[in-house]
Amino acid sequence: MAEQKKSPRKKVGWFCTYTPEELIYAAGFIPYRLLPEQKVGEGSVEDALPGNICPYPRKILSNLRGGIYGDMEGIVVANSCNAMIHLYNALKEESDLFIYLLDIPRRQDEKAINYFTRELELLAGYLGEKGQPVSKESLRHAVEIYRQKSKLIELCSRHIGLAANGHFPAGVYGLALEAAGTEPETFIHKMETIAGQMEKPDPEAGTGPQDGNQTVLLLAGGLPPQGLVEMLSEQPGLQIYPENCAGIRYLHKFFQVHYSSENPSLETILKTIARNYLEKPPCPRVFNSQAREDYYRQLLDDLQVRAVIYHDLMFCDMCHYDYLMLKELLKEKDIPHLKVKTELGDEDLGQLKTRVEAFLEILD
Amino acid sequence: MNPQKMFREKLKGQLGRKLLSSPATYRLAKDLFVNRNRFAFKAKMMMTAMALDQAAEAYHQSKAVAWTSAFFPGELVYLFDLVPFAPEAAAGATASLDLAPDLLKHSDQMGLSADSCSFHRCAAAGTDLEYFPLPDFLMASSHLCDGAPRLFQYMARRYNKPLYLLDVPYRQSKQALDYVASQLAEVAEDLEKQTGKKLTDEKIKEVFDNSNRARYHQLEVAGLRQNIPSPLNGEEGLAYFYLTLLGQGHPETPKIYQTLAEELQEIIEDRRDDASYFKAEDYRLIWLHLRPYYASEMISYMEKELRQKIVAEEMNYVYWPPLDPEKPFLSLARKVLSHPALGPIDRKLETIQKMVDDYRADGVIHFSHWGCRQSVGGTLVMRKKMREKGIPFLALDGDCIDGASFPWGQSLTRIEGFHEMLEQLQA
Repeated sequence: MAEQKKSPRKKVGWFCTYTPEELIYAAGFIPYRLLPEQKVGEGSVEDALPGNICPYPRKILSNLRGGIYGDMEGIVVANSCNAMIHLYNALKEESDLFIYLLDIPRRQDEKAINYFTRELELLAGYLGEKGQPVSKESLRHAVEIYRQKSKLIELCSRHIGLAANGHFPAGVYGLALEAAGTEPETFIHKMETIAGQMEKPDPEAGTGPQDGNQTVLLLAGGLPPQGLVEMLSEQPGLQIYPENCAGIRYLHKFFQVHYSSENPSLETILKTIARNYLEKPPCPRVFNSQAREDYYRQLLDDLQVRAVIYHDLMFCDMCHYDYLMLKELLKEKDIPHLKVKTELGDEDLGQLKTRVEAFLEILD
Repeated sequence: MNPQKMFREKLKGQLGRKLLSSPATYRLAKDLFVNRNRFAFKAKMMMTAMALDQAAEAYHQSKAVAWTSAFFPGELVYLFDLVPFAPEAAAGATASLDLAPDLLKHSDQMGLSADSCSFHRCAAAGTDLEYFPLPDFLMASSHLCDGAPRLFQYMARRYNKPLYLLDVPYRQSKQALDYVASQLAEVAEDLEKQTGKKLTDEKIKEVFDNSNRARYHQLEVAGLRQNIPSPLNGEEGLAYFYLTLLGQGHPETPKIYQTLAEELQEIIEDRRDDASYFKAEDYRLIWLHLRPYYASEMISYMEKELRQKIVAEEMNYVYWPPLDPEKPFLSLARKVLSHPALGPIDRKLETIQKMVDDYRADGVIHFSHWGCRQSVGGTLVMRKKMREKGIPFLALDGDCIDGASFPWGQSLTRIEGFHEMLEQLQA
């Protein structure tokens, strides 16, 4: 992660990509994504979270106990799955930070957008009390900052080879990690510098691969362990697209801002945010399997995916059932795939490496 | 050979799948398991007959069949005269018929992770192998579990049938009520189009009346079980969860609970020969989650040998207010949102405390069904909170469907350890 300048803003942790970073920023905090990829905290969490639930919240709790994420003011937990609710319960029990539970609809229609808008109003009110009040001006400013950020990410996506050329460790994945954990102005500054060094993008080029000699591999499924990403990044001739919420589903969160008036109300801005977030590329928890299937189809076609590695994260129901759908699509499109299971640790990397290398050899 | 045993053996054979999907099988099963069986409670006999009739009707396919997930408001199914079928309940039935091991193996072959809920693994395999009656509609709710909506998405895709997914927020606010109610209204509107049946006030009154009368008698049963000694054990009590899954709004459900209440009153008043058997208890326990559905000595050992009697079950707890036929969707939404296990654990903890107080229970056992993230994930916080309150608590690891993964010996050691703790506390 890039070195950050000391900021007067304090960090507020978040997990799920349906959590609007703009709101956290507008309340005077730095939105900071808590991911298990970083150094793992010492000690067991078996006293708070059992071993047979998703390892993501277990690792987060371990990291928090170990102070891995540094100083934080609070955490916004999203009601995204059962495991996250249990993390919320555990954090409420033991953490001195403020812990907020945000309800996130699983639908994408107007009913859901209206419900989510109300949820965001509540979150804005809560964060405003903890930091600075969220006004329409501060929120509009935050929206603009994040819109700039997403535009630069989009630009970078058109030159996707750049990510693998040393600007971000572990390619696209590194780009996503840095985008989610860095103060937005710092990230924008870095991206503008990089963009200035790039050739002007071809507006017709889309987001597909730019280097025809490389094999495009989709890394789908749940958040992968750091070791797996690094191992794949080291494989020559591979262009890796991580289809997960810390990968392209986060990067492709393009923000459309169309207010009906010059001076939109706070509610209008919140509704715009709610709509943008619920309509972003769907994750497996969204109650629209057709949208998820269409999204997969589009990725496979646009990126000209040659092979897929599916990370079936242990104890994650979203992953388990998403795999059944993707498996059918891959069969239909005759795209080879390898399913691997981990608990987000690097313990089984040796065996994993053998399997991955054997799979890649078959592709050759 | 015992005809009931022979029947079970036949189902396990090569003809099993064909037999299971024949309505005639359920008529035969009704004769064998209802008419020729000796039930300790007439209420349970009535419930068994109802279950077999429902299965026969679903396989007969003369009426549209709706597959539903646990906790989806079943009244909606009866409002449109659909025949409900619960794949999760069917998974329990396959475990009791010893068909589950083969289904679990098949789910592995399908690529479904072995760490998924075994109810869902069995249901997915049963779908893939076409063990179940064909669905016309599928309905699932996001509360309480993440797996069920995903499973139902898989099933709907498999059969290319309409799927209704209810998105349930964790809050109990007006906005949440409106959000759920509007979804239920939307489902009803679509069902009107699909079935060609107009939802009338009379039908709503009829179904809601069934549901409310069932609730009334269910509360009556709960009140009677609060007696010391309690007139009903968990071996019997746990079975009534079937009515929560498939009986809410069915005309037979209030009759079953009413009959059960009458029978419990007879036991309390020693008007039955077996009254002392059902009254036997040294320790009174609250049971959380479900039980093993395969042949297991667990509950009977606890209740008969150790005299640890389950006096109330989380799954039979009446948590919802009566339904209002004047506001059908808002009313069903309120029912859905009032589930104590929805959202953060505080509401569940409050409910457990209330059950412990109401039933004057000596302890709480949580059957930690291995693949259930929703319930298992909270056990450690629950244990901590129970300790703070001085309530003995045991999280008993196990699996409701997959008996092979959790040998009885392991559970036995933990149950006996818990028993010793209860003894010490009582001493």
